[in-house]
Amino acid sequence: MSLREVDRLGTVVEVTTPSQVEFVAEEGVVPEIGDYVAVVHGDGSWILGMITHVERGSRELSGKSLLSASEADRIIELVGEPSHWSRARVKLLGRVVERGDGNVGLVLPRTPPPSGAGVYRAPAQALRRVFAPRGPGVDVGHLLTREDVRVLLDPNEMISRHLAVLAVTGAGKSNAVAVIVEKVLELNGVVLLFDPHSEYSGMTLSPGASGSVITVDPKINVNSLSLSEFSYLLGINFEKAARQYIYLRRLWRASWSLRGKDLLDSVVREAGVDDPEPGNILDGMIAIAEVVKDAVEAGEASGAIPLGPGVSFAVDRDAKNSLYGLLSRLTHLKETKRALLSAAAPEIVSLLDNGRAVVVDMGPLGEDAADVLVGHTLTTLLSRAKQVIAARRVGGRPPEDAPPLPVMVVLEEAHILIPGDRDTYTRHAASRVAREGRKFGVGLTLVSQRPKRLDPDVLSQMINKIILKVVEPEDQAYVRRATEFLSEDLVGYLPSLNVGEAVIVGPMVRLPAIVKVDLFGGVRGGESLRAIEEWARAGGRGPGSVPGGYADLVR
Amino acid sequence: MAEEARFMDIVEAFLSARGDIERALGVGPRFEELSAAWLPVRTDLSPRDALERMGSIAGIDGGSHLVEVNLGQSLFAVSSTSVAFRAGERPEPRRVFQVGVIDFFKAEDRVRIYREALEAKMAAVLAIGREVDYVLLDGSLEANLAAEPVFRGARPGRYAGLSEEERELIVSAFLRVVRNLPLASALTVITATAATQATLEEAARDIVGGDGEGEGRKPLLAVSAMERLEQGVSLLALVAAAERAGVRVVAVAKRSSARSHFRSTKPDLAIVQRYTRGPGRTPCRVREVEVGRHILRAARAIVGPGVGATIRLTTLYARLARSAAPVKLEILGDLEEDEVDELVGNLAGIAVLGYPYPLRRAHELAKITRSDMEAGLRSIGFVPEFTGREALGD
Repeated sequence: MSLREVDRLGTVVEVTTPSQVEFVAEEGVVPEIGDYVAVVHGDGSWILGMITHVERGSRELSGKSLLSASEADRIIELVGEPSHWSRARVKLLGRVVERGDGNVGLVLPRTPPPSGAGVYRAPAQALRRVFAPRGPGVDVGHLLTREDVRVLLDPNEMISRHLAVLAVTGAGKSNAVAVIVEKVLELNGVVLLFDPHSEYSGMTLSPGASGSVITVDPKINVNSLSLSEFSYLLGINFEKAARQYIYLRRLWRASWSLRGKDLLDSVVREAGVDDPEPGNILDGMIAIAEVVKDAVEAGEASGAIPLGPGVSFAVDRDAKNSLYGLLSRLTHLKETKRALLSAAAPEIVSLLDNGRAVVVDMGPLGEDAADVLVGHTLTTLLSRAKQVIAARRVGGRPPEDAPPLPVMVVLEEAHILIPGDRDTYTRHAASRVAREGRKFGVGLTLVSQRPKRLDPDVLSQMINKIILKVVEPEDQAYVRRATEFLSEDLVGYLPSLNVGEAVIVGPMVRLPAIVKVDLFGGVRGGESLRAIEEWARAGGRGPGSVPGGYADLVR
Repeated sequence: MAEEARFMDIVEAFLSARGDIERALGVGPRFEELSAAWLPVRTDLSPRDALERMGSIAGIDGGSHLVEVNLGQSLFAVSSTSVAFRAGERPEPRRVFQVGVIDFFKAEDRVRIYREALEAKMAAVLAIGREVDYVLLDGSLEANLAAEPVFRGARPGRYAGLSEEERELIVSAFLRVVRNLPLASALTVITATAATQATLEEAARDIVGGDGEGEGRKPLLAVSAMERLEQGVSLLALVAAAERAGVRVVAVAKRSSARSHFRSTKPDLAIVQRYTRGPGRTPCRVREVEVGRHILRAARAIVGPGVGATIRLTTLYARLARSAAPVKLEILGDLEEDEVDELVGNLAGIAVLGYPYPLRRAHELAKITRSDMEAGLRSIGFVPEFTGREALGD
């Protein structure tokens, strides 16, 4: 891959190091940030580098004493077209070397390139071999400065090392996610997308794209909740409320015992639980608590209270307050999470399939319900993935409800459910997936517009990052700290990215890249409402018309 | 009783001397009539219009830098740049550099003289070739023509000065050394070249000796006097060429400390700055500046016997833009007030921040920085030797 003289950009000036050089540009050449260059180092050999900083000036218009445009205009009138100079900083990435697998690798030199070395636009052929290695990949777009060089993400690294997509609102996060999801489906991948703002509800893929998308309502099969999940939902902590936790455990076990003997529904009915659902463990717990409460109030609370053949509930003399408090919490949970918790709901994890994206539309849910849903689903997914891997290790068959692996789990608005300043169920679950998911085929993709509000431990484990426009300095600094591949120069460039332009770093790309992400060719569901069109389309009630009963309020 | 010695703070000293400092820096009240005599200057000309009225104009400036390379020796570089402006054309820059080795003795003064000599030579080349209608120089013509600082600057306590007889012999020796060299026309400071320096030193030693206590520097003093002669001769060559070619030479000084215009103890420019507002100028004053006797002798021998003993200069102070600092203008020749009005108006037209842009551009191109010097030194593979300043961490 030889260099062409027409591609010469400039000449290296000192001081050079093995990892960085500066060059002054040829007359009329203005280097572009993010462009890849070849820095000559030795006979016929060159080092690939990326331009991370560019300065441009005019010899005639330099000097801090020029403080008004009129003075600058006078100079231009005297000299005609002012001269221009450009100087650029290049981060050296390495010499492109052949690897045994037909792809190329990069090796950093041990010595700095010499001052006076030529700097050329890197050959597109070399860049293609770096950014579009042989084998399947997630094709997200092209290099910002090279439309002819596609950038393919390594799906293995993307799943196993997790991914964060960070940007301000409107910078193209959701488009980037949609593009990635579509490409993963083309590879027969498995995607689970939690959608808090119904942005992907009803999403359809680009014409001709393979794979499918299904949107599901946010439901949890209440009977799949573990005791610890119930205790989390009820806000009962063993350390702080040991007695309530003990009674909760007795209720949960008794409810399952009754269900096992087909007695649950009759107990629920007799206890008069509102709006009962057949086989619902939560209803059973409420019913048993009611029964025990009545017995305690009737003075019959001594030892075990029989609930049915072979099923009883052990209660202590001073259990009254604990039971009242627990019953109150259980009832509140049922009332507030009625839409979420159902014994008939299928497990979301069971819907996963190869070539399919499952979009969980969490738009109707409040924040705490969404927290339970995501936390529970992540926990369930990780648990089942572990079972699958364990079965594979011993050569056994995976369980019936085993999810296809690996799975790419996307969580939009991740800073809401995985905040850095408070504990949530999702944060706890995501933290486990971030730590253990690599081994069990569960990859997280966190999407956020407020990186600094994300839990730093979880974010730091999202080794891959797609960073679109980030404006706020605190967010930039936070991203910088959490990203080992991101240089200060690139961080400084983040505010000036245009919509759809992204810095991509991490092991899923061989080199840090500034990429123009493709526009998603399908239809995402919940696009932002367009105010002018919506208002123009709406008719309104007519001038002076107000709803009945409000006329007196109008002056 | 003696004052008690104590550990004093410098701020304390400033505070106690505050009144004296303010009085000393003030220019006094007796120049208030200056504001009444402040003449209007035309400031409505655009740069292009002003250039069209002037025809062509070149700004000339120089740069210099010294780098200590050895105990007792420095490397110097001097430059001279001209930038010619013509209406509707791109500026035409020219630049020459000269580098060499110089002894520590009065090195900074001597390098300044080299620089000024090179500037005068660049201006003379433009004048001889009639390449421009106006030449703008940075600094003061008067100071360079009349003064002979190195001749008078000897400090008897440290090294002996030069007697009148020695001075005459120095001029003769100088003329012998440069007799066959193109001193008035080449863009090189002849006396600063390595070959000429050796000859000059030998000639100087023949004249002043230099073997006694404290006498070791006396030959260098004589050499520096010869260097000063070249500078003066170069200026007079410029004057002669400009007069022959009809080129108007204007020296622009922004930091002049001259006190001759108002005959005050305060610098003229400080008085103008204090008592005038807005664009304008003082009435001009035509002066016959007497050329230093030794320089005149050398110039008549080299440039020609027609070099006059006096140079007529029209001097004035002007502010070329609102809020700008005033400058001192010295125009070669005897100008009428209306000619001065025309010239100053045109200069205001091509001024940026109240300073003629051709000079500003020439200054920018002539600058020599430390990194320029280092790059030059590296290009010849030169590694500075022990300078003695390493102990200070330099």
